Amino acid sequence: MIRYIKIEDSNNRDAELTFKSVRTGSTVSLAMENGEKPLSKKIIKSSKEKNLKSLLKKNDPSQEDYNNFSEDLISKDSEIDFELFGKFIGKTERIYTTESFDPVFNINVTEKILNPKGEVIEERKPNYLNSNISGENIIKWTKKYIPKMKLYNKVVLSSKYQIKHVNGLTYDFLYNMAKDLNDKNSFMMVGGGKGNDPLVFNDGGKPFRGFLEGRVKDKSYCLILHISNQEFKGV
Amino acid sequence: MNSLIQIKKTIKDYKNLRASRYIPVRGDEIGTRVFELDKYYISTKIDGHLCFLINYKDNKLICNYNGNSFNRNELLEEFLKTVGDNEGVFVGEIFSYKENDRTRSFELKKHLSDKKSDIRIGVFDIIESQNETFSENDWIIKKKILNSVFSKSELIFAVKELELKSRKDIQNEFNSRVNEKNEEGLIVRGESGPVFKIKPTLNFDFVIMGYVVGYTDDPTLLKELLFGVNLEKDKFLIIGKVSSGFSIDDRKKMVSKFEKIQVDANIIEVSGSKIPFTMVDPTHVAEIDAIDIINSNTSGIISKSVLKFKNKEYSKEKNSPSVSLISPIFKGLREDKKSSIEDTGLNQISRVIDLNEEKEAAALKKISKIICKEVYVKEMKGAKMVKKFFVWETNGDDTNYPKFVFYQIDYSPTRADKLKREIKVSNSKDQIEQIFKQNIESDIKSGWNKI
Repeated sequence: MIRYIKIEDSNNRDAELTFKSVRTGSTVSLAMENGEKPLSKKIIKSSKEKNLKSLLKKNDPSQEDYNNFSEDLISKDSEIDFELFGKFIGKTERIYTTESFDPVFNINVTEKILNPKGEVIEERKPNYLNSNISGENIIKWTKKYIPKMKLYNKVVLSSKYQIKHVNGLTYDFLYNMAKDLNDKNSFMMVGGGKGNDPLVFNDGGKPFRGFLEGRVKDKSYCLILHISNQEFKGV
Repeated sequence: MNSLIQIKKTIKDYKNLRASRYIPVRGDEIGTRVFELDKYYISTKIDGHLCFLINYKDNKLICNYNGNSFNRNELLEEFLKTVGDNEGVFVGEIFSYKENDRTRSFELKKHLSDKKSDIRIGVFDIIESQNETFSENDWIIKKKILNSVFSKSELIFAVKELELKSRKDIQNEFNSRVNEKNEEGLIVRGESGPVFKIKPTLNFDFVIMGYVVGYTDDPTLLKELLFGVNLEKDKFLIIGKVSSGFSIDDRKKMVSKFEKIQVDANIIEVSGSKIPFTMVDPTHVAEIDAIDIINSNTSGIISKSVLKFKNKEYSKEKNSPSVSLISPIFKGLREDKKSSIEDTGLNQISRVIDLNEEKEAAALKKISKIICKEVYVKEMKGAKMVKKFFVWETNGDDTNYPKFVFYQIDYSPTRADKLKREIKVSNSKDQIEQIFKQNIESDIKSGWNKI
């Protein structure tokens, strides 16, 4: 899906452009003995009605209940739905459930801050962030060049988007940005607001730091916006 | 690209990667959503079905994106006469023609099998011609070829384009062709870059069937509504969900209104926030606007649930062809309308787009047959551990079931994870029996007794 983005260059000129996510497929794939690719299919392995607590018909079974259940297993096959298990599944949706797998119809979302040991140090209401990459908002060119060799072990680059021109003028605009970054062999840190704010791609979405990478070859260019919300720290 | 398999893959890719990438724009958004370009090439949007015209050695046909022929011999003869020895794959819109009348996709569906009907094709793109492949951005070259190849026929013609200089000109043309002459919309393209599909806003009345709360960081505000149409009295087809267009006041008032009419359901319809919709008595009607409506996507025909409403409870009857709205916006509650075939029936959809035909429901599944079963027990400190191994034949249809299932139960009443399960499937009886044998051999060691 094509999405809109507004970005500024080193001369504080801005333009509205389009971008799309860049995904490269795996170069390695599974194969069977005859060279054919295996077909992946999801199947039903079990169901809520056949989980242990449902079979025991108790929310908090005792050890005796568990011990007695062995006899049920030996004498009956009530733990298996022979008509359902093994059936192929098409599109699935994830939902929030209770511990007993009942659907939850209302949730309170909290944000947990963990220390490096994985312990919760703070639990708070998450900040709701509005998208800041288009419309009234412009992604700022911060003039903070970061050499490629310095960035790779500082942050985890989690996703990347390709920014594309929409006409001749924006081709020149993006080509020049890409050439500048290519010549300096550097990323450019970009941000929202005055240039310091992290980028938010969707309303209610997560904040990310943005790093622009540019490559040029003859008359063609490639401008990639890398994003990150994790830093590497020495241990 | 010579074999029919290769051609079919190419046209399917085209449908998924190019045809569905037109940017939808509402008529009132031309000034803000269409990019400023040096030149615009605009044409009237034809309301028909996407079609591919193929002329490759032994492969000569006019088909849809699945490679199924439209079976119109007069069009195929005309196409082959027109293209001559120009080998290639061309893309067009096949439609039902009526002089001085706008095109409608449901008219095409109605008339396609009637050999006397006037069916035509507007050609608007080239995938390959004379061993040369073209990209999205080669529009000027492609246009030249299309105009030279398809210039003489009335049945199969290159879509006429008008060159404009500004977005204001597009707006004027939109007003003239769409608002005044009732055409479906405009297609706008630059020399390179995205193609825009400009259409007037579509407006619908739908029955509200469910709601979900949790807007921004407030869990008490309405987030989304689930809506559908009446197929019959108390029988509904799900159409979609809407999350925008509500004021904060709407979000508060509607939650308090819907809390009082909550009902049960034996199915789960999931909202965009991974929370199931709370279903409500289908009495309220919502007015919804959308930029576009589609009946198929890259996964194929859009299919959604048909629900019965009886004794204050929804129950799922089946899945049936449905539609999706592009950018739906809630406009308000229609207190003057009620949930009925007249106000919120299937005509809300069929007046704009035809629903795909329903596939025959699969026959009822025969009961599975257990082929192998072995049970082993081991006793330790008074507790009995149980391992069970099964193979059964599903007797289900190939689309929904494998032929055979291997299933393993590993139960230990004193272990943290007491009941472990393993499943493997195969269509080969020999293979599944081998899996059964191997699993028992590797899993059953000393101390286990067969029952």
